[in-house]
Amino acid sequence: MIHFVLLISRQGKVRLTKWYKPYPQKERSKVIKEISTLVLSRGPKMCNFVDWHGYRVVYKRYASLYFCMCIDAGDNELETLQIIHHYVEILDRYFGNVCELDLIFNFHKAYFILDEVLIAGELQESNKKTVLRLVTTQDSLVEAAKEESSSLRSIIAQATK
Amino acid sequence: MLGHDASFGHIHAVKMTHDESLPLKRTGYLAVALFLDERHDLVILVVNTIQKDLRSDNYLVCAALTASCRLIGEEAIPAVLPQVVELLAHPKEAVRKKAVMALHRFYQRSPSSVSHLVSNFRKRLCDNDPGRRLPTSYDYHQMPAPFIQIKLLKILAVWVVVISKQVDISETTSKFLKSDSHNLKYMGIDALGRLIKINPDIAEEHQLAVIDCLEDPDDTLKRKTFELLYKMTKSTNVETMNKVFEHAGDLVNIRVAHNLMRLIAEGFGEEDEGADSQLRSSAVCRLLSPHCGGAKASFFVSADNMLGFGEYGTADGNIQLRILLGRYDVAEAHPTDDTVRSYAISAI
Repeated sequence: MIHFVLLISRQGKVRLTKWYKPYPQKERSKVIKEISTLVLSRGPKMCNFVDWHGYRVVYKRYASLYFCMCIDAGDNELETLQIIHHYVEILDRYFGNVCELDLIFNFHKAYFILDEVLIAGELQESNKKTVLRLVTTQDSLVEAAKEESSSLRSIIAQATK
Repeated sequence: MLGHDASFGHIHAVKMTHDESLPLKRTGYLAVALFLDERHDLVILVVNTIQKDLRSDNYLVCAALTASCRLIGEEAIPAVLPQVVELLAHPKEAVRKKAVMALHRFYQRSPSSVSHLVSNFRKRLCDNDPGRRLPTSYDYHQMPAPFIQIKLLKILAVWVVVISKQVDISETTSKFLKSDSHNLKYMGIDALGRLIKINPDIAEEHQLAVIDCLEDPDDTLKRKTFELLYKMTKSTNVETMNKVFEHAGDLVNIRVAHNLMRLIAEGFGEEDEGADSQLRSSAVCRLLSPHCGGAKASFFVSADNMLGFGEYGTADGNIQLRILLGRYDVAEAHPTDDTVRSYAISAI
């Protein structure tokens, strides 16, 4: 299974973290620091897999962001690379030519999409269209609820005046 | 949260999940899933909300299920289990899938509580709906992109070990090993490692490629190659292997040599003691010379381990140890000082 997902910028800033196993706060920051140094120091031509503490960290660099996933030693690494690419493609289609800024300002959407792609450390949906459809449906539901609540509020506000 | 402590917000996040309005609830679930885990105290407050939401009408159920994957610990499983099982029959495919995953996660946490559902699972697996397949049975042969074909071949290589058909596998692995991509070389070495078990000769054909991988500047690749060599040692000639090890010992990386020593110690454990000790002493001498500074202490610890392991009662062994201690004194004082000395003494 995937133990955690980490998105780090080239400067070492953490853009997204998702933990699929219980990690206490201190351990999380330790892990982040270790993985950052490990991954950022790798050259461009090196393997995308690094052994770390008995697990394997599969990472892929997209422009200025490193997408890292920590998997068990027995898991298929190419499969994980494919999962990372799958997630990035969905992000790209959702945001339209996604860049790091999109993920900074819409991190909650990135998390929602990740929740549709991975669940409990395993791949949940390998069809991009389905994921996009689900996320856009959820978005529209949220929008509708927001509108409804704002309209009610205005009605009540008017009524109580 | 992004590296900063956000514990002040935890209770607010929990309160948000109680809220009626959808956007707040969704954000609340998201935040809760990020901040808390099953061992946190505040989870108890969320469990009740999850229960209620699991029964609710809309997609919210999905959010609740996702959250429950993260948050439900062993004790809370019984509280949530009946609803999740009900959701297995939900009309929406996405919900069913999440219910299956949640149950899978529960199973990981506590097999006993979910065992009665296993037969139910089997029935679901046989169902036509592809959205409900458990992750372990993911069929990657259906992935569309053409460049994945190579990866498929690799996956086939893995499956081949199970099915024991060797027809085109050596061709594929040699293609991998010769490729420019580091990832593919890694996969080639991995495939060789697995193939060794069924056919020890297969590695002979690829010796050159394997040596190339040894000299690669990439850390991970080198380590993988060493593991392969270790596997090969068990079935091939010790002397040839030792030559390979010595050749590898000339490489600069100290950590890699550390692994190497360990491999030698374990790998040569089976072989004839007489010839073996000769080879090992020569290997140790060759390997000790190029090293300098850095992780010397850990290296010596491992070397001492190896010597102690080999039951070096001979005069050769004592000379070895003296050389080691001599070099060690030249180096700066190190925290593992005492450990090394004690290892040396115990080895004698």
